[in-house]
Amino acid sequence: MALRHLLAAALLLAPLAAQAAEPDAAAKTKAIVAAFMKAKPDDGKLSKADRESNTKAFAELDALLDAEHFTSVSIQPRADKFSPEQLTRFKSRFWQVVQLMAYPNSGDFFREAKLTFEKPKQKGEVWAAPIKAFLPAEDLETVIELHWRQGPKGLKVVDVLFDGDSLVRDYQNQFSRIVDKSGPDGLIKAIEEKYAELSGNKDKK
Amino acid sequence: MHASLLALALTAAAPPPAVEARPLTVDDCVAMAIRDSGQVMEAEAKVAEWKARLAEVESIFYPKLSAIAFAAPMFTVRGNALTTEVERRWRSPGDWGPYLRLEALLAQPVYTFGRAAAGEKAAQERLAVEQARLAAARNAVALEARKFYYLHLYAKSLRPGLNAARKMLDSALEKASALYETASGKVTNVDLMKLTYASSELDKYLIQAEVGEGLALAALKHTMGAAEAAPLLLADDSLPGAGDEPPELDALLRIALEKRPEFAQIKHGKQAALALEKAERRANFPVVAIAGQFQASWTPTRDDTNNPYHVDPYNDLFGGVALALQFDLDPALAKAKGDGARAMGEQVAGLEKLATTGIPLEVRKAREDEMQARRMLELSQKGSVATRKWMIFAGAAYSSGTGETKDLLEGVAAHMQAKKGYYDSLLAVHTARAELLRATGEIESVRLVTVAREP
Repeated sequence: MALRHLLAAALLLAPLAAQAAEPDAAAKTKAIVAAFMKAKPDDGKLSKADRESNTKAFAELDALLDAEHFTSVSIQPRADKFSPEQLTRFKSRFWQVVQLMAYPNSGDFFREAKLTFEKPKQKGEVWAAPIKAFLPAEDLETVIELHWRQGPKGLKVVDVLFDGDSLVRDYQNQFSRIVDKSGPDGLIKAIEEKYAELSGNKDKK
Repeated sequence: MHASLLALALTAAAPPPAVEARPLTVDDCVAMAIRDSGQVMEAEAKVAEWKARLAEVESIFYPKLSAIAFAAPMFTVRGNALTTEVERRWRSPGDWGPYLRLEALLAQPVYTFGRAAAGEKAAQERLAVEQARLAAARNAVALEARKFYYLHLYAKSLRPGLNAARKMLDSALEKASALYETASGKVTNVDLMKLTYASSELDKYLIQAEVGEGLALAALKHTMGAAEAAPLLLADDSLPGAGDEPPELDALLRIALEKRPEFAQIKHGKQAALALEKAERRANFPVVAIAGQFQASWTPTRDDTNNPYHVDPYNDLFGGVALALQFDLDPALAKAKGDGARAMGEQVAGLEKLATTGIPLEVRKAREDEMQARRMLELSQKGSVATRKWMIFAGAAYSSGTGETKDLLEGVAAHMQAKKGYYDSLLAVHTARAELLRATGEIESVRLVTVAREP
């Protein structure tokens, strides 16, 4: 269902320094949504052309999202509890989960939703680009706000807000709670299990 | 022949035509209901009935002609009242001849000592009462049409969310059942039963929404005077937003005072009762009339007496004009009818007392109901946004493997409840506005706001 795809879309973020110009933020917002719309869930039955199209879409999305910063910021409050190896492993697996889950499912969400792109506004160091999304089939209306920051590799998404609440902040709190309860290994185990589930499903099909 | 039968069969099987080819707004439906509803038609017929009764009362001022004319066979009689012997012949056909007679009385009432004028006024005022009742029937029908229109959309608005929850629950049940079979401890029987219970509760909502949607549409068509099978396309797919707040109470009361048909009913009802009492009490007065009489008879089988002192019913011509007094005295009946009319007037006075405080109270209640519904709507909206975020963030955590399925399902359930609460409040706003329109006697929502702004 499309709601699930919206939830998966919530995995997108990454902070970067510097500022972007408003027209760039507006154009890039449309570009990233277009890239998501090209990505399709891999149920093992995709045609060769679809798989190639997915690869291209994934590459476009990788270029618009800062994986390194996204994973770093999410774990930042408890990063000191991780060994360098654990941190590397966590970041790598977490981003893979994002790619496997969020990229294709966000495509489904954006394809089904009625979207209204609003004019980006500068908020401190970021350009906030709101998208009003309405899913008629589920009577679900939400405002997704992409936060863009200018970095050395161009304008990239650094956070995603749903109805005004930051996803980065939510992940920080979630991860901190798990680390406090089960340690870094507990968090890594949870992410690994999800990765195994996602990649296993994909391989099976 | 076969082609005709087939055509006939096809005609018989064809569904009724659509109520209207274009999609109808709530105001369109109200306008159609006011035009075609059986309730309004009945009230219109009552007005027509009282127009006829007024004409009946007014007919007293017009001349009345009563006449009888006939032709009959008459045997022969020769002689007259002055002759001692008269000869009668009837045996042969030649003894018979025609007998023609005409009697006519023309009366023109000229004065009734105020009885006719009072009766006419009573009938005129009663007609005005019926016209006000027609306006009240239109208001009642408009309220009904609005309520069914919004009720239909309410049920329709709930369905997408319920269907989405249905899909999510189905998927959760499937996954939970599979996990339960692995005996991994991730899902217990209690978890499964919670999901099953949630599923049955959801199905109840779905049934209610499905039945409610169809039933409200059928009721709307009924109110609009349309056939149940006639397709009806509505301009809205879901409950529209709450729109503008209602005008201030003072402005609404001013509109109600001017437009509520009940005030007109009372005003004219009082006048009608007074006039009727006057008319009934003057029933003992005579009617002054100018009367004209004419009589003519002719038959060749009788001799004409040619004597004006003889009453000759066979060959006669008589006519004349006179000033007449007509009495129809029944004092006890006149008093009883007068007392009845006075009691009717007292009933109207009682209703007036009730309406003077009751109608403003109705207006105030409807306005406050709307204001309260709007406040509830605002809170429901906040609740809906909160549960939406709950659902989205629980889903994000679940997607990354760091969240619980339970959190997501609880979020979905809470969101469904909040959405229902939101639509309940939105329906309450529309229903209260419909009640407010009826309470003020205004038919169109837009006009209510416009008129209220007028000085």
